[in-house]
Amino acid sequence: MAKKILNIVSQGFRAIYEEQDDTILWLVHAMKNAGSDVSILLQGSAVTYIDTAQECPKLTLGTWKQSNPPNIIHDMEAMIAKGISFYYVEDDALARGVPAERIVKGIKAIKTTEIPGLFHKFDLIHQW
Amino acid sequence: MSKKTLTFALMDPPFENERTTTALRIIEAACRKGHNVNVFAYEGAVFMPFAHQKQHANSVKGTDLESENHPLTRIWIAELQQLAVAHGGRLDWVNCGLCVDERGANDAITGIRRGSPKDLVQFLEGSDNSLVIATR
Repeated sequence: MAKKILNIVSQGFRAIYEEQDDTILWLVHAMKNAGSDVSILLQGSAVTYIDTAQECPKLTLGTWKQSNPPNIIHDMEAMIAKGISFYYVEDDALARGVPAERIVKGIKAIKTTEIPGLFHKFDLIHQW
Repeated sequence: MSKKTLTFALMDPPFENERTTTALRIIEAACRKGHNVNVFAYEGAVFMPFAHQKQHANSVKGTDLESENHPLTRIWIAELQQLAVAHGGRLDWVNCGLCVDERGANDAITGIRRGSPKDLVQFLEGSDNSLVIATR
């Protein structure tokens, strides 16, 4: 049986315009495709990924125009559909004012005090 | 508005964080207004104009090479070089030579100069203002 791996993303928007996705969400998605039992915990600034109102407009630099901008919500929904469990730290989302009615469906809220208990459900914890 | 000379010192490598895109967007705004722009690329930033950057498809997202149209910082910098000239300014980009040697990042796109901290000093002495966007 594959090891259960929790991947923690604490900082959002790292190079998403250059990579056209979040690099760690992409990596975890690829690991899932390769047969790994992976989950994600969003905390800190990364919790803003769960806000469905977010939008990444197409970037223009000189005459270069982006045709495939990042779409984090779409990527998360695709990952959830493949069975990747998503968690977010509710306290961090509240602190940043993410409205509850705009949170992407299928993601689970946990409180900061519940994080140690979550860790016990996994074989490996990776803080990215 | 009078033409200014602005110097940017950049330190982050491409494809790692949002500071790279932000820096290039600020530089684009300066070039678009016809200002002369100097860039001193230090440490990992010397990889931003690296000539061998290649686009790729994205199997996770199911996009091919064309539809992915992956951004490359060397293309963005080439765009900014042309944009600066088109608006009556210039973009003078200097890669720190020692940083290049450490990384084997010798092959940069046309118009990128190899330099040293002395170039940074000359940039700063001749600039109206400067901005450091450093690695954190």
